[in-house]
Amino acid sequence: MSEPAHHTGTIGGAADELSGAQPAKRKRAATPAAILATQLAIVVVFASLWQLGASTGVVNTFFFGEPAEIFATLKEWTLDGSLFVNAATTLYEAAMGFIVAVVVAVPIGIGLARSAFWGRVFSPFIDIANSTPRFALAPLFVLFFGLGLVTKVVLVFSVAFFVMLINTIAGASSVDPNHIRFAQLVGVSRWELLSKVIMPATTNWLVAGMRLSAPYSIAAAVVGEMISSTRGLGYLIVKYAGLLETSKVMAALLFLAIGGWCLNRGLTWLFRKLPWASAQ
Amino acid sequence: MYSPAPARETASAPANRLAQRVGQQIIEKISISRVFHRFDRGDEVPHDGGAVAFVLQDVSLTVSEGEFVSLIGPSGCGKTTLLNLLAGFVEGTTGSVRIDGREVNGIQSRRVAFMFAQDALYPWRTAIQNVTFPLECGCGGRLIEGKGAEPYARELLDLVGLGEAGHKYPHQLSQGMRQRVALARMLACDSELLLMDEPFGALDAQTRVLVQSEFSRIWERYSKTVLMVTHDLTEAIALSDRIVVMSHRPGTIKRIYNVDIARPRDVLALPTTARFHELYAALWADLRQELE
Repeated sequence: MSEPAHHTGTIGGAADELSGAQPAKRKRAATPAAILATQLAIVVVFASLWQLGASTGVVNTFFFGEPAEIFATLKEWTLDGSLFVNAATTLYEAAMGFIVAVVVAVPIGIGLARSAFWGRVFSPFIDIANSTPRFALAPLFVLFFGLGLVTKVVLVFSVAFFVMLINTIAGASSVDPNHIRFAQLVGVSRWELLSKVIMPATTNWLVAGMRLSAPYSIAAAVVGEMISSTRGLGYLIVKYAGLLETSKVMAALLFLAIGGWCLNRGLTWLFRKLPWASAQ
Repeated sequence: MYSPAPARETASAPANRLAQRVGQQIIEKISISRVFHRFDRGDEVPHDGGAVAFVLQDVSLTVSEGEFVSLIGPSGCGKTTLLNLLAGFVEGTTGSVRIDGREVNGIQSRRVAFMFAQDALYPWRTAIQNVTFPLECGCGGRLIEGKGAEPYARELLDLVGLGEAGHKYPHQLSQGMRQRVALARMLACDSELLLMDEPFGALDAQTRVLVQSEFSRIWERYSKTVLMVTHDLTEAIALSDRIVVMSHRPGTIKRIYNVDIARPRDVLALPTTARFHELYAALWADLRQELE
């Protein structure tokens, strides 16, 4: 009687060791807090090694700056408010161009997706325009629109527009034909078909397009400022690069990188808030 | 040996029976006359050995009001195309397709309800919002805006046994539940003609029997005209007044069977009856020739 029980217990213990204990360890290691702690540790180790290298002369601070000076610069800019003024300028230019691009690209994209004829007519033009490096157009935009806000907004627009247009066309073209057919059978008007079927069906594509084009919009605004501006993060980069103050250039770049990451996370959160997002 | 009905009859025995029962004339709901249909150039199968390949060839069929007709046949024989012709999704190459005596010309808005093989529910709408969709758009002669349509939609969800699942999105429902929501949505259209394209094909065997039973019960209550495409012979016998067997492409009507089994039918018990087996054997023999 006791032998089988003992035997079973041994197997059970072995199974616990094999399948119970190890996955439990893995589960603990994969908690969000553990991941965040590891990520922070990587940043701290990287910054420490960089700082150590800079202090001992292994890393040339003329080219790469040093973390202590970068953080000191960010602190200084934060305290005197210049960081927010310049960031707000860049964000304003990027947001203006981005919003205009979305407002213009979405209806055009839906129109082209719904019209087989016009969709095919414009397809090569869109591909050619999208293949053109828009940053290379910046000098032309300066020529056309001068040195003011409009140039940066147009540059941002030119970058964000095609990303949004292509995503909208792809989204509106991939609407399940049976979704449209059912709506037509119940007698929807053109407006109802657009607002109740095509737009909701395309939303995921639009959000994906926004996530993709938002960082590009910031980059375009920065490039615009690097060409002609007296304010903005791009202006700071050009100004301090000219003064050979690498740490300040790095400080502006670091702020841009973190800002872009926050923007992407925000749009990802927005995407997840869509009640049907998990169905896609 | 079971003797099938002639292939080109105009009114079925069950429809006659129905007409006698209610003391009314037989009303022709669907009339398909000498329809030929081929895919346009650039479509999936435009040619067959250099000759133009017709998907439907000389198809004629009449369905009476309140009749339940099933279409069976090998894959690609044009069953779904026939439904699409009736809904106005595609146009016939030649011939006449009429509903209530009126030529089908374009999408038959608010005249027919369609249930697709895949449920085609809107993923951004909850189950109840999917059911209210036809009502919001004025289908069935009732334009109900805002939350006004919800009580009726809830009734329909209750009817298909999903009263508690109204707030869930399609991806939160099982395939069987989704098909039942699609059924409720089709009923919300309140159309007299229901076109169903393999409506229960995506369901597992157990769920299929349950949903078929529910649909049979609902149909017997409302007596809508139904034209259903199916590959399931048991389903066709259990639900239909007539079964149309189509030939391999080019699709023609090979034979029409009257299902003279009394209603209400018990979908679960029906396969144990001798009449069912007789019909099944006859249908299968016909179908097998087309599959070989």
